[in-house]
Amino acid sequence: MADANGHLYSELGELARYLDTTLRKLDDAGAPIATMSDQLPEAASHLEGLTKLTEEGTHEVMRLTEEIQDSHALIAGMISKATALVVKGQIFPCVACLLRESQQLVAQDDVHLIDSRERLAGTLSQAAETLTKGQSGNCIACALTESKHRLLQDDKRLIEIMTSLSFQDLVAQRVKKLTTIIHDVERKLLELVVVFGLKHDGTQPEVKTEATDLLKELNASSSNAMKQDLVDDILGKFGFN
Amino acid sequence: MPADPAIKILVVDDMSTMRRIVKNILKQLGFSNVEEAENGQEGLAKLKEGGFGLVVSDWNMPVMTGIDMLRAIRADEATKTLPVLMVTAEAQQANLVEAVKAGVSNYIVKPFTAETLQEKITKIFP
Repeated sequence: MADANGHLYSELGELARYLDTTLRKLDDAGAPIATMSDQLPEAASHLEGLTKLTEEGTHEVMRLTEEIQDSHALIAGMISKATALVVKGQIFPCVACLLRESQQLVAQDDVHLIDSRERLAGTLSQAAETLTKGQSGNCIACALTESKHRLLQDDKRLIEIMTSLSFQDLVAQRVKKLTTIIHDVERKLLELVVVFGLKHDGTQPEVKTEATDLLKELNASSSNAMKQDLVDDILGKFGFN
Repeated sequence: MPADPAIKILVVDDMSTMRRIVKNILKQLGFSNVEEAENGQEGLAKLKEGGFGLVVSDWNMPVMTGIDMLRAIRADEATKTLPVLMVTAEAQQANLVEAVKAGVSNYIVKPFTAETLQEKITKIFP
């Protein structure tokens, strides 16, 4: 009986030490857990900001692409008109005029498709020159057809640019899933804080982690970011023109 | 019968970039009568206005998902035969089966090309 009691006391003592160690470990974990649960909403907010940034950038690329597409439609119409006039053998200067206008439109708005557009501009220029000199129409009709063909090729590339921008939607969907996970982890950490009474009174020293530094950098880059207008205003006050 | 270029198309997607992409491709394919909605509920409200010949919809959307909108379209006498093309990142077989059971007219997985969209429209309007 005495042996049994001794064994029981020994086991109870072991259990008490284990509980004490566990509680101490939980207590030690309190500060990091509380800090992490503080950081998570900020991290989620930065992820949401990322979606907004990619969305804005994508819309800008789309805007420019659509402008080029509209310009292409105008040029294609002019080339068709010019081709019809050449085929009918009508007055050349009028055709040359249309070609020059097309050439100007080509030159106006493109920095992205430079090679292809330069070739097209060259062909149009050649056609306009030949027409102005009053030369015969057959080769001009060929040049116009080739120009239109090149425009169509460029149109296909523009559609490819548009469709490839769907990456933004896929990125946004993944970011949304990540944000949901972060919110879930945040909720679970808060439950831990509440259940184990791991209070974070704000006076405790901040637990420094790599995540803390990264978050600080992110905060600085988003909250301190200035719009170019404001930068120019400030530069102006310092005498920059 | 091939799709009439004047057909009124409803594009439903919560992402403004995707709506713009689909709208742009449809325009390049000759369909310029396109309207937009941000989720299934808004889509159903637009459809009540009538005159639509095709719906191009995403799956994952807040308020009302694309699959729920599809079921509502099929359950409504006025829209039950309206072609619905699902364009989604949900590429699991289970999703596709669910969409087919709900009565989808065709299914495109993102990212997609203009050729794919054209091909699917041609299949819907042979």
